[in-house]
Amino acid sequence: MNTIHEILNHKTCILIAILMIGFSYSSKAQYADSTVYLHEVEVKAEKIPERLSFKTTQITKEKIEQYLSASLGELLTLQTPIFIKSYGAGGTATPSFRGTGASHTQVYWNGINLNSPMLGQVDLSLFPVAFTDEITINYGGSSLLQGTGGLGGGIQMNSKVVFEDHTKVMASQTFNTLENSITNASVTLGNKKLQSTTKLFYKNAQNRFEFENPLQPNSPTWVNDHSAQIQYGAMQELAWKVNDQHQIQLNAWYQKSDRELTPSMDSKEGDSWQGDDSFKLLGNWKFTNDRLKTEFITALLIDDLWYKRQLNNDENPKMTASDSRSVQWQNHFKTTYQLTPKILIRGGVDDYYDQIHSNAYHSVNDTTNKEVAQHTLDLYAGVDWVIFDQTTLSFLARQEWIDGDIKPFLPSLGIDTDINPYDKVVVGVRANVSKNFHAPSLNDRYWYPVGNPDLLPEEGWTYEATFKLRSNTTSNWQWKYELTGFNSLIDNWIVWKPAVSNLWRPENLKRVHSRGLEQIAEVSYKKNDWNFHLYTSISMVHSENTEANDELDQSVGKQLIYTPVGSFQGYFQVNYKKWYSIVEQQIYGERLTQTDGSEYLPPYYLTNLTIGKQIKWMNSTWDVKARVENIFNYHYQSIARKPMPGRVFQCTLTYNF
Amino acid sequence: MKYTIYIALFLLVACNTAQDSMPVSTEKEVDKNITFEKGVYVVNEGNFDWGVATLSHKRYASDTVNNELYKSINNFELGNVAQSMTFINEEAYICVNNSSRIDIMEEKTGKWMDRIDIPNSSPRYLYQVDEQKAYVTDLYADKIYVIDLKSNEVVKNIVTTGWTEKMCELDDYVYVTQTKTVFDKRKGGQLLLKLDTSTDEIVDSLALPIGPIDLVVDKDEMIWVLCNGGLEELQPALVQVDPTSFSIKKSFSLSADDYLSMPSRLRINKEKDQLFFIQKDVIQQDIYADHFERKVIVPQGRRLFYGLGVNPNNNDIYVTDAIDYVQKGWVFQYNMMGAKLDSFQVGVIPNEIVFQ
Repeated sequence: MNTIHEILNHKTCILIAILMIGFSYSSKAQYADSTVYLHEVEVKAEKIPERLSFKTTQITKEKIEQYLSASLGELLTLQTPIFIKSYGAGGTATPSFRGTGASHTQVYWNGINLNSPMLGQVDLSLFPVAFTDEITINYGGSSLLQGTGGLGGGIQMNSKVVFEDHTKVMASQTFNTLENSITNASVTLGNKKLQSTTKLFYKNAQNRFEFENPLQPNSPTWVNDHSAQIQYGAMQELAWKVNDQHQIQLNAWYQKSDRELTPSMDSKEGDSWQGDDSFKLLGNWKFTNDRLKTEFITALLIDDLWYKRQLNNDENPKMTASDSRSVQWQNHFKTTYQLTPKILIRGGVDDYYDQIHSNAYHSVNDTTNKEVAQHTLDLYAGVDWVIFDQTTLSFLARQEWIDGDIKPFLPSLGIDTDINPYDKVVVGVRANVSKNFHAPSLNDRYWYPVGNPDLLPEEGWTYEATFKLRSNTTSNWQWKYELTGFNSLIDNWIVWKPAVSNLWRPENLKRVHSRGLEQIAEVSYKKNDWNFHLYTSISMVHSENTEANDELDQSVGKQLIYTPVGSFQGYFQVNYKKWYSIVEQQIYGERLTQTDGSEYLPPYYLTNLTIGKQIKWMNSTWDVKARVENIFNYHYQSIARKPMPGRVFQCTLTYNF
Repeated sequence: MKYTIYIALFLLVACNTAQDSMPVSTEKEVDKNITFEKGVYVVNEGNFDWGVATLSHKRYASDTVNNELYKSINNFELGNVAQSMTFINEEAYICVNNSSRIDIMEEKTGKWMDRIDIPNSSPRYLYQVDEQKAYVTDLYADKIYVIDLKSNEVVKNIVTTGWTEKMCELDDYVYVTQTKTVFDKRKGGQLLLKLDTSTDEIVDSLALPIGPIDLVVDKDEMIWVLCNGGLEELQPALVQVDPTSFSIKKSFSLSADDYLSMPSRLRINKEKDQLFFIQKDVIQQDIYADHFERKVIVPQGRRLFYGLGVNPNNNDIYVTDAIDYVQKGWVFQYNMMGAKLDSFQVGVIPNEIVFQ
């Protein structure tokens, strides 16, 4: 076995080395012909292009501006098939992408990874949508261009800089009947050389609502009054276009959130609080010419997380106090080179240094200052090749080392073709295969005393195929349809399992088989002052455990808990002159709450209605918007026995200059 | 057609009630006229914070198991993390740890009677002192609650210095184990407390090895205390205390390689001369033995034993397996020789076994 491993590792290194050398050599060559056939390269000239042949979708700046007061989790739940598990109003929101766990979705901000090295996951409720200009969703293996670990996929939040002479001011205020107030403001100013954007965010959310509690005798009405949150943040983006080839960016993002954690419907009094402070400083240098695009990113991320719980009713109550600070230094070097008009090669290095100070990594009686550090180095190289007109092939290979230990080699290959690109209805197909892995988080490895340093990485292959149809006319009607099937088998799935009373420890316990269908259909119609847009997304995902340690374990063959088999997201938007109206619909099927399927949460249906108008006055635009969330006051739960709000009325006033 | 869709959608959302949002169990409803007697109750604690505690009952002479009986009978759930059940005058007092309360139900009908709410408490075990009074221990509060059994109210607190757990009574004194949770940084406090039931005052305390967590009284009215050894110290012990001299008479060290070897659940047989506890396997120890010899009566195998009970009627050993703690667990029944007699599925994380 060792020999095979050695050969494989050796081959891996050689393959990556060849591709990297190939790139280095090619980058020195000069080509007179600057014709570029890879249309995506042309469209986003300033950016490293996404991979062809892999599934990505975008949430545009225009869409984001409709949801300025929302968190990233709230936006994703409306616009993507990612299922967001919410621990009550204002509570932690974690993603489940294609039936995988929360740590299997990787989140990036301008190229740097935001997943906590301690938890391995992100809390999507903490990212205000207003702090991003565009969002890219990478499905499955598509996330491998950004990094490893996205067994379900990846989410990119990116800033968009436009070098032009202008000054823009935006201010927005939202109130709703949960007694929440959300304020956003941004100022952009600059010229064709320099740009500065300052963004501010302040949220004072009580998340207060009444709910009927069937868990208690005679179903009394209780008030959800322990979900308040104060969150504020500031972001400064500076961009300097040195010349046509060089661009330098500096981004700083500070954010603070203190919140009460929603108690279960079993308890009237809340007893837990959480605080999340983060500071991110990012420097970015881009070099672009006709053929070469190079980007170097260096970032410092400091995250403080505290959690406390009042344990008793003593005069001076005992509190649990979990405090941790993670300091990360990330460096990313990414590059693409247009080798020939039809061949784009790419390569890069991702380097992470994580340092954790946590009182959870050592005994309470141990007062020495212990810290845990981890170094991750990741190399990748690949090629995108236009084989024939409208037929592309994409290959990428990644190799990661953590603290010098070589991790699984990750190849991925995809092909995409439009069969009849010039017909009125274009038919296309896309297929890809990829290997990915997810390293255990530092909590998995070091949580005292149960951390398991010998955990194996979760790893598996994903196969994916897409059938595409789209209209290709200049008519008032435009439409698009995509049906994607995927199949993924993940070994060494990590589960936290009780080892002895009250002590849980992580183990490589399960083999998870996830497969499903995703269907996206969009239709739009424009005539005179009218504009209609219908978007629907339907997902059917079966994600099940296939192995058991105990012969009585009845989780084998059952859907993973808190993962719906069926889900639907859709919206219908009508614009008439400056008026607009949006109806959103979400439907989620049953979600098991016990691994043996002995208890489940019933399906739920949420409908939201927004009506707004844009008013031009002098040189400014006012946008007045009224919104009703959960218009039918549907009773539902996201996590068992955590109350969720019913109908919520909201109004937003936005000023743009 | 258009109107049919609207009507269907309207009915779908208009008929939705708060009850419809609640988790749905696949367990069949229990007959409301059934009586729960001549059998064994199993207290299933459920998942911390989002799960639900349930009660199961099985008659000794029947193969039928009535799961989730509390919810079926009362139309509401028991609460979060049920820890223990104590019978007093045909009523069952159930300490629901994470719901900060003690629920009272009729032992034989399962009907809810009353509730003792103790805000921000973590009640663990209730011990009846006399017709009027009971003591309740607490996981995190530095106190033992004195309950008036007539009014079902807390009437007094007895100040302690840590996590109080199990109790027994000898000669008008109640003896209570006291240890420290992992969140408690204070030193010491590994004690057996001696409580005068006439004054509700702690009159003495005895220092014990780390982690006194469970106790029983043997036929000679000696108190046996199981000490789990602590998470870091890993020095588990089985200790015999003479209540008359209030001193340690015997102390057996139980070897532990790591925290997975922490012992739990000390039980005694009907004759009160054989001790049983879980240390990965189910271990048996004679009270007269002058040294500890690890006698495995039920090997762990691939299971993870969680709860343990010894039937005071016939000495059958009941041990529970919580599987992955996120699905229904099982109870296995063995005789004193370790031969398996029966097994039955109960609720999520079967914790306490209470014999009638």
